[in-house]
Amino acid sequence: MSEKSHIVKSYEEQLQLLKDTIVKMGASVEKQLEQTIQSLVKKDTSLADKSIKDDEKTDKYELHIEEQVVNLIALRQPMAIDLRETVVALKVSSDLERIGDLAKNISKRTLKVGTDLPSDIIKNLEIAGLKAAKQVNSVLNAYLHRAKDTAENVWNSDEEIDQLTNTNMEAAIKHLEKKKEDINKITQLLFMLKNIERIGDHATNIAEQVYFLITGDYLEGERPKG
Amino acid sequence: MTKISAKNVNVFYGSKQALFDVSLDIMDKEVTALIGPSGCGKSTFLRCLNRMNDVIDICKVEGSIKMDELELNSRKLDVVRLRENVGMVFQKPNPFPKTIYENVSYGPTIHGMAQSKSELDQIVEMSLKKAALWEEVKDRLDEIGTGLSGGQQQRLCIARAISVSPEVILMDEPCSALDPIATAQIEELIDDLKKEHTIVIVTHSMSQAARVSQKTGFFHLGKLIEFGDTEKIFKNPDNQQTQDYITGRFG
Repeated sequence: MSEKSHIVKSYEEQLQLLKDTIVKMGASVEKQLEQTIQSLVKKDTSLADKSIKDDEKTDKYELHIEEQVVNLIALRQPMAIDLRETVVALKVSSDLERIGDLAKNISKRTLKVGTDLPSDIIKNLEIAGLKAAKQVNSVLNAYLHRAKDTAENVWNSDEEIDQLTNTNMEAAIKHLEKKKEDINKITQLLFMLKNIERIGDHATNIAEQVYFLITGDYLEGERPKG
Repeated sequence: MTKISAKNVNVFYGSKQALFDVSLDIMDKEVTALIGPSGCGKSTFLRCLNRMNDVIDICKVEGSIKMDELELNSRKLDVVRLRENVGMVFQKPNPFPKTIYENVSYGPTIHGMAQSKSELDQIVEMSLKKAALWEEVKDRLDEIGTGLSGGQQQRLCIARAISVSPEVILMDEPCSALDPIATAQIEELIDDLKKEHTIVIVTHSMSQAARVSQKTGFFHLGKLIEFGDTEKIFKNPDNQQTQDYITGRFG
């Protein structure tokens, strides 16, 4: 980040507003995720309802960011760090929007299956969900504080979620073998697990963008996969 | 391939030093853009490339500037021959107060490049075609050059510059007096001309430098701060001063 301000103050303000909007959108997505996970843990469907409802806010943020980005490109023709700031905002907002959607989808499935899933399965979901939420939180911090190392850590630790997803899916299938009547619940559960894994992937995408924003380079090499 | 290689160029106007140890290589048949705030030395450097600084009595140029194997900064250099090979286009279109035809035929005539009228006609037509002006003026070649629009006058100056087939064309803010359409036409022309010529352009328009050049050099207070691929300079420059300048954070 350049410490100097733009000569044109309104340009500086527009870029700052863009960053602020990303941070707010991130907070909105984090809240959705929190509600989604807690609704399972606390067996409280009203939290799932809230998460679904809050997705509208997240979507509005995305639209707002897109408008700002198009305006910046059309009216300011940003260069170098400003160009990266602008392009990265567009991509990050799109990943955040997907995370919001996935949280909403988990909540919808929670409403379908009810909260009376077996406790060991709920526990697995909670662990994976919290891990994904932690990744989202870390990557948003990396964006806010321009922390390259944090972004790299997020990128490197996604495989833990992948491994957890595999283990949880196996456990769910084992459960199904014993209790065939749970087929509906377990099918929903598999999608929920997959959604959590996808949330981790989107956090990884954002980590790549944050790294590019800070360095101008791309994170290279094959990402570790579980 | 390197066309011009400048090494440790220092320029003084009297006791005031205008360029400090500038070294850079200009590649053959590429467009090199020189950017930087007013007074940074970019035009001074450009003028070293065809010895335009000779006309300023108090100006002294040190260091080496080689075009191919020819030392441009040598006292023995034939400056007239050099300028035949290194053409120049200026900020303000400056056609001669003569006909369109004469503006373009002047160079080839004084350099004895045409054996006959028809050969001269051919050179004029080809130069005007290369400068993307032929279609607009072919029926009025005997009209006065200064009667054309600003953009047409600038293309006429480009036609005049290329009429003697220079290997290098220097452009000092060639579009700053032109409207956006005329600017786009010149930029399109630059793209075309680089197939046969090496072009060095000084511009205050960052977006123009980004659009037309393959290499960009950023000058500040007489020093070459950063020089490299245009894409790199505008996407992720190495130097903080370069970044501050191109993003509008200077001062």
